[in-house]
Amino acid sequence: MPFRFSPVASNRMLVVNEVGEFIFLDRQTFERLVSYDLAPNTGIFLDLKGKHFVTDTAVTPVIDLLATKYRTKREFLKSFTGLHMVVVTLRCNQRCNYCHASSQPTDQQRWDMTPETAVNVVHKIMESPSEVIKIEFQGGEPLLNFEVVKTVVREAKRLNRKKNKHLDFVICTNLTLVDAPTLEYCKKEGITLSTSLDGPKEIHDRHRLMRTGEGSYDRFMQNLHFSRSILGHDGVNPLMTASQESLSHFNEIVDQYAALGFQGIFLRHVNPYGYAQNDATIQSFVYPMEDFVEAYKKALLYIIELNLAGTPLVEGYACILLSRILTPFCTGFVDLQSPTGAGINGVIYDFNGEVYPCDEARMLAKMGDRRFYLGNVNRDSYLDIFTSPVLQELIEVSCVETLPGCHSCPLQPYCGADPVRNYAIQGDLVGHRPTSDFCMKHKAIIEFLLELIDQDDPGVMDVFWSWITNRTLAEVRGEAPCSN
Amino acid sequence: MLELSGTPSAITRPFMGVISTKTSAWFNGKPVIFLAGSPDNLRRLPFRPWGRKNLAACIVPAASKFTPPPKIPCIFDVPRDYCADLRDGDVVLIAPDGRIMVVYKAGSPYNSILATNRCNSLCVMCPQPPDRDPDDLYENNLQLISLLDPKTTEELGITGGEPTLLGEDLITLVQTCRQKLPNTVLTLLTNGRRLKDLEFARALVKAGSPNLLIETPLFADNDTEHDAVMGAKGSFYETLQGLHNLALLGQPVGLRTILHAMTIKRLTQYAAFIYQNLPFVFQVAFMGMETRGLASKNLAQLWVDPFDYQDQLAHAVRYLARRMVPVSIYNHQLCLLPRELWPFARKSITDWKQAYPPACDTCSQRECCGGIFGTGEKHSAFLRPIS
Repeated sequence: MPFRFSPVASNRMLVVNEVGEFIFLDRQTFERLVSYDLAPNTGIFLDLKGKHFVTDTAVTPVIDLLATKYRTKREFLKSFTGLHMVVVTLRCNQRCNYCHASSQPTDQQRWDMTPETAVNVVHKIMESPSEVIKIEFQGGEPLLNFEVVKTVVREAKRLNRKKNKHLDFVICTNLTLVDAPTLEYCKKEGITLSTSLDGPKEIHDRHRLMRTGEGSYDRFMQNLHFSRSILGHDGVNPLMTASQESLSHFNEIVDQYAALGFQGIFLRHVNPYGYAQNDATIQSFVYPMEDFVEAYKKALLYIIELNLAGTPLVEGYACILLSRILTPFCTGFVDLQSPTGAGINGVIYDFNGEVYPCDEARMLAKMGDRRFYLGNVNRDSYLDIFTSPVLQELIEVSCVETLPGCHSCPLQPYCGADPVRNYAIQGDLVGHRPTSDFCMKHKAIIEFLLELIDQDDPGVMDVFWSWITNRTLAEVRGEAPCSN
Repeated sequence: MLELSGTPSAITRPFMGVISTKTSAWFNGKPVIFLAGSPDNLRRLPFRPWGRKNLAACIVPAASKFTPPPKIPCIFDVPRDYCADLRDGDVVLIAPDGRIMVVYKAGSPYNSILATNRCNSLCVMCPQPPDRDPDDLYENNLQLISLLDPKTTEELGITGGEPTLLGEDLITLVQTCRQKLPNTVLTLLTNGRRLKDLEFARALVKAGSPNLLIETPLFADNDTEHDAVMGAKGSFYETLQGLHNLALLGQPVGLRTILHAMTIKRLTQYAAFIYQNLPFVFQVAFMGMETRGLASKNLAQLWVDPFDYQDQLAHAVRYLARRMVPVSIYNHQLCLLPRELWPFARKSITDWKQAYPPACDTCSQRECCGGIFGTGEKHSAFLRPIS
């Protein structure tokens, strides 16, 4: 049966099949496997057989089972675009050093989305065949154009009376402008808030600055508590961005997230776009990926320890990868999919109605390269936009099965491609894996997780499964009181 | 099956009826078998119901002076403690030789219909090896279904042998259950090999919907070992195809394995295989072996003291529980299981097979524990009271 393999540390071979089932073999056993030298009645042969790496009896039923598993793993392709990001304004009251959203001063109304464009955006969104639709308001700072947010929500709910989709709304806000009426509105309409928190004050305020120059941390904290008091504790979810300075402080950042009672943290490498490329702060954002990976691994072990000590906290990135490695199901994740999630799983509508497959593509357009422009909601039909040659080309060049370097990589079933990033950084859509820090990062982290899984420490596995299945450790361990 | 006996009188052919101790129950249209509290009760009976053919027979407990009335089918001299096992609503089959077979115990969760003794496999640990069927088995089963009370029959099993060997007759049997017992949950035990035929599977699922559960034995993560346990080459992939057909049809299915020397070594691999290939199952049951029938014959090849496989069992149970696959442990005594496995243990031994050895007398957990197979030949050497 087909499988891929590559050597890993300590003289072992990682072997993975088409549907992501894996096994570590010592080199000698691996040699015997590929030279058809393993006896069919041995434990190791049966291990390989049970995972459908080999068969010494029937072939057709094994292929049928693999096909069923393959379909399950690719199920995300059935639903098409579910995440719709709407940039309601480019204006922002902050001026963060790493902003890649091309924020504009607060008084320049011409960077706002008009109500007419907003209505057209909603009509395009609701044409998506996906049964689950998430509308994410982005900016700039979306609260600066809140009337248009309301227009989108109202129009989407109106259309949904016929469409009957599962509809979610999220506002991505820096929280500094929230007030009681805004929060009451969100509560009434079932909208959650997504925000940014980079760590303790010193770290947060280093790069997340108000347009006036001072730090945003104190206002953030005050409004976080205020927002929670109205929306509920889990109504606000933060994201962190790691600058070079944060790397040595991951544990403190993790501690802060835990102390604030957040369900999870997503240790995120900064995107090398937009203002992050500015000369003044470039050393904070362009740092070796190896440094991030090392810090990430240490922080992950620390988070596992925290969980085992009774503080539940999910590391979001590990959780997605672990779901892919350990479950037979598929896990949608726009940033790491094959084919790419850009366009077919997530899409972004700019303030002027222009449609791009992802935020990075929109950024490139802002900098003058309209390579990934898909169309405009004010002029083009849904079909024009979502069957555009640009999108088709993106899909074509982002199937890891066919990408040079990825085609033979055993981590393929867990990974994905990002052609827009390849284009932005390496100059072409296909990209060059040996010099790609995107590849380096995912490979290193996935291999690290595989090693942890292979060690099969009961505590670590319990924590991993509490993340994947969204349960407490006690539930994972089946510590329900004995019914007797 | 629980079996009693007494002295027959005027019984010319075997027949089935519902046990009743009250005369008021005689007129519900079902043949009633009157269980007399004492021989005197019988003398005082108003005999008119005889004429209406509602009263089919009498069962009379042992007493010193009793002469059976002529022409009235009776089984008398039935030991009193036997009679004490019978309840209103039980269904019994009475034979001309004086045997009383209890085919349905009212209020018990363990009732099942034996669809057939025949089987298309020959499992090494089968407690009830395949056999030929009596000619009237199928008709008796249909009659049994018609005698059950739809209001109180919450659960009913259909077992074998291999029930799917009945083919169309199984579909009819299930349909009859569905019509006569619309609210009863049916649990069909089948090895699923014949369900690889999608159309047959579809007909079965349709007949049983919506209250049909199907439970299927699966013994390994590979055909080599599964087929060896099952005694049938090719059965592993047939069963898997059957299970995938059922999943396609939206039919809830559970899996079972029996723990012994041939299945215990790769229990975690077995669990992993289920999660990867059959994640839709509603339950996986790890079952202790009943050392009877072929299990008893092949004991030397199969026996592992349950005490010695607790590590493997715990690992496999934890593996599935982490993945939110519901797990049950059947036929295991609590004193053998580590405490972490207690929440998964079920009192699963059928009431008439259930027994407690002397060691259980002082055990604090006796009420929570399912005991041992009274019908089994060999038991763990490590049974001990829990304080």
